[in-house]
Amino acid sequence: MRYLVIILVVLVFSSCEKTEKIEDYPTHKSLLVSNCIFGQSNGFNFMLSKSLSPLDNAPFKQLVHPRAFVKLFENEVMVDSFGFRTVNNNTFLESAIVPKPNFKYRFEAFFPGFAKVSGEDIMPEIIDIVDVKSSKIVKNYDFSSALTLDMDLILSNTHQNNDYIILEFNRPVDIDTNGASYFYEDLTGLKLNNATLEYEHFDNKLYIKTNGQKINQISIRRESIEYAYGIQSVQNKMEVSIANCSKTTFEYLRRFNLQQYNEFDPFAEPTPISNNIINGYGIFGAMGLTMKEFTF
Amino acid sequence: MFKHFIVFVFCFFVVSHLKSQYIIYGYVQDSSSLEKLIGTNVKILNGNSGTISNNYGYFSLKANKDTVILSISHIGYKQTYISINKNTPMPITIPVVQEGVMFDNVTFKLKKESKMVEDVQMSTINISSNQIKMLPRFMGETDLIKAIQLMPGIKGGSEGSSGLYVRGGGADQNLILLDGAMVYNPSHLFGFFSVFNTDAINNVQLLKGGFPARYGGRLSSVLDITMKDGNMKKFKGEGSIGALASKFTFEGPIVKDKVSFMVSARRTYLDLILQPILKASSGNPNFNQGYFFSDFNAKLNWKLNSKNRLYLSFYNGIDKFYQENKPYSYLYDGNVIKEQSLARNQWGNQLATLKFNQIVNKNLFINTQLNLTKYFYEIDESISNSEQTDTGLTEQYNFNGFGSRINDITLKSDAEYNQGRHYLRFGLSAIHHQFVPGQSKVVYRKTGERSIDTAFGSGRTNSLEMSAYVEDDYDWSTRFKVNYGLHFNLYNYKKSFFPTIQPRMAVRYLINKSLSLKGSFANMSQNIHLLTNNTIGLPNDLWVPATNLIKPMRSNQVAMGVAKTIGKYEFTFETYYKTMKNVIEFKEGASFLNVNNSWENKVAVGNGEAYGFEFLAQRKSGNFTGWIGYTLSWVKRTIPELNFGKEFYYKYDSRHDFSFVLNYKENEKWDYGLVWVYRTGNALTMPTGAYPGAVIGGLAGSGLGYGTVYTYSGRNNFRFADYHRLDLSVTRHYKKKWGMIDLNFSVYNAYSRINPFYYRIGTDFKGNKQITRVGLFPILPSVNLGFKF
Repeated sequence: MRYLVIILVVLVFSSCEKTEKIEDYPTHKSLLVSNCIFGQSNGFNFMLSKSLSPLDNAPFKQLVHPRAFVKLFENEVMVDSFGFRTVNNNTFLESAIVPKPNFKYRFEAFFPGFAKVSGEDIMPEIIDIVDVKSSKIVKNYDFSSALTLDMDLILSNTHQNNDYIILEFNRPVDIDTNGASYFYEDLTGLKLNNATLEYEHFDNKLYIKTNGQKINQISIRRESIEYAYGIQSVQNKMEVSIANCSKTTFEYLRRFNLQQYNEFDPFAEPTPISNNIINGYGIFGAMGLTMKEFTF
Repeated sequence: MFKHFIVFVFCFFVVSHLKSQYIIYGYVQDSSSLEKLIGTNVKILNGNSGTISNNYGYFSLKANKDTVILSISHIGYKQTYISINKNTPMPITIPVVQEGVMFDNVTFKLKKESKMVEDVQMSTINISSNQIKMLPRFMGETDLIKAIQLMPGIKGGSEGSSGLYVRGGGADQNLILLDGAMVYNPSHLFGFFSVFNTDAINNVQLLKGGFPARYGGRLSSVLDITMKDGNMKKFKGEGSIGALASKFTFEGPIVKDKVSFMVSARRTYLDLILQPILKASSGNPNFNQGYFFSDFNAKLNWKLNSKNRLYLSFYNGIDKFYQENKPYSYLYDGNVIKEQSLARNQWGNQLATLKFNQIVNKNLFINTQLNLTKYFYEIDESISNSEQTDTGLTEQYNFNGFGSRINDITLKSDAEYNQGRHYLRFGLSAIHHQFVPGQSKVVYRKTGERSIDTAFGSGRTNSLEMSAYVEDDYDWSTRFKVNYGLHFNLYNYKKSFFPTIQPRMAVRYLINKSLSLKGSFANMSQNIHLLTNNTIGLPNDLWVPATNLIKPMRSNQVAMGVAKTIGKYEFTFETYYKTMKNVIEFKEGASFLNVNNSWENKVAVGNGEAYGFEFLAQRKSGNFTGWIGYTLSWVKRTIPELNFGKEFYYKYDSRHDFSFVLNYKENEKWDYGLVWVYRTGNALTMPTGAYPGAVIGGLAGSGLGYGTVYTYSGRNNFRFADYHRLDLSVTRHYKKKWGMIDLNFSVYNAYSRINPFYYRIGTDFKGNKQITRVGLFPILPSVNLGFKF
């Protein structure tokens, strides 16, 4: 009886955890990773690396090899071929080609020990921000200030395609860290050409699918609801970035930023990342980016 | 054509009516307590007519001969036979004697009829509170939902959970009724216990498919629980003292044979036991924290006369975590400072039902009821302090809270009309839902400063459901019986209306007295969704109405089966195929913690599919009782916004599910229980690869080589380890002059299997990455002392 009691106590207080055998885990075949988001301002800049198993102990590292090279095609005509070059101890795979709107670009990357990887995308047009009209409501309290801003972004009318747009707003705010200060900031009432559309927003960015509509005006209301005390000095200026993306880039950035945004949220659903690299992983995507700073 | 059809139907009913001679109707009840007996098989021995008593113990059937013998059979009761002639006054009340009770002059034992074979309704599980009490207990507590999870076609979700996932449906697709009132959250303590106190329950019926037209509002199951009415004859009590909780039920007559009551209460007391220890360890006499859950059931049953009855029932259940600093004051720099704080995390159900039963005439029985249902979830923290200085008093108050709730008011009326071979049921109902899907509230007050009192998130919204149904139980012949009907539903949300017509049909072909073939079809609609987190099961699941964007769910289910009895053994084999439309899941990357997005933006809508085979062999009488259940099933979802539009297995897809339940009653003193369950592990999403990402941070700051991108071979691409568990119990009954004492010793998870609750990728002490399977419950022995008088 005594032994039975001892066995029971040992069982009850034994840890309720078990380390699974790694072999049970889905296997991962390491592939070449090629990352390149190109545009008029930053051209083509590749980074090569290799994928790992989530259970791999090794850190990620950039792959460099003297015999590795990239071929770049514009509308299926090869326009550049380049290898690694070193500038100020940094190693790049970079092309001097400037992408042209509505041209299709394709790349092929060769790296010893890996299969050839390739990908393609079409360069969208840049959407110029012609004007920003804003009207603000600042609720000034003794201990903080909350801001509601009605904005109209007037866009140039020269572009043809804008199915996938990412808008980003940055409001420089100096926060006195001695006082706990929290703001619930929301972007609401989005209207494109006065038509209400569905959108997604997180991490200060709006991800908009225009479903084929040509957009030349974006109206948005940015609300701040204060819910705690603190000391803030708010600068009266706002940076707006508007990225006209290919579908590939849009989905990649949306999903990747979402995955990063949720990194420490245990309740967040997993976010798979889209991949347009044949025989490998990564992104070869196009983005036309415009930035404008305005004061209010 | 239509005119001919009307004439045909009219003639059909007239002929049916002319053939019938008289209707026998009344109630079946327990002989000692006058408690109604639900689901009792009532049959005319020397005729072909038979029926099953309804939720009020009421039955009605046609007799073709002047004198007939009624056979009444109910599990756990002696088979009863009563001679009836056309002059017998109606309604008749038939008392039925429990097995083992030594009194009676009208009963004698014969082979029992099998309700399971004869009933047209398939995919049904009936389980009595006595059966539940014989099963091994979890932490000393008997649990209705955990008992039901042992039946084929029903899964319980994760380890220890009291969730219900029926034939591929979600946790929100179960219509759970307690005395007719909807229960939104049937669980306590993160789902480890159900809210139903088995001592307060009279009857439990679960439908997995073949839903009759009288039920509506959910896609996958109906769990209909009826509370005890209260003993009409004498005062009775029962209760138990367990390691986790204690409970007590008391019932008796207020006016003998006319008015009775039942009250039942249960509470955990871990917080009360641990309070002194926590206070001592914190070093603060004003500090207090703990957790408890409690249930309170009450019912009043008033027999107005032989034809009219009134029921009033009430349920209140709550789970509460709390942490408080009671008001205290101290001196600081010569100033008097007072402080107090309270943090709470609580949720609960409150239900109230008023029912009125009326036998209008020999053909017609009507039940009218009013139900109030409330489910709430709240998490909040309040801090208040004051400082008395020479210059005056400064007071400050802060409150931060998040709340979600749903309030329902239901008015419904159900009628049963016996027209001989046709047994018609029809009714109307209206439900008003008031939702607050998730709202945050902030209050800030300080002397001399401007106050903040603001709320944001998804605020209050209303919806309305109206339903009507008509259903006919038709005895086509002695062998062939059909139940067919239509359920109409009109759902209104804001300016949108969603009408549905839901056809239902169930057929039974009796090959012989011990073998029948059954089939059913049910079209269902559901106007309410549950936003439930797929990663960790928490009570802050949010109930939300169907809207223009997230439309009502629909389903079609076809089932076929065979029912067979061999001696005391009953066998059923069923196969089913179910499709679901507009089912929801959280979008990839969505989190219920993120209040920036409205709930409609967090969910993705798509379709579901489930099919499988179920086998059940059970024995309900004798010293050895129990069952063997096996399910082979597939559950899939296709949601365009998830898994890149590709089909994926549902989280609770589990290929094989086996349960073995055995109870052995050795004698009046000892009985033993054994449960062994096995099922294929649930599906979950795990990364299969990782590589450096291309961009992080702002668009303008786009760069290379930052962050980690995880790749997934698909949604729910990984399987939990198989689940299996053995539970054992032994109960010693002590008979006393005043009543009975039961001492139960149970062991949950007898061989301490680490069944996975979740998986964690981490590193070992050497820094090597590893996957750890985390279970919740190792072997858990428990003792429970029950008493009855």
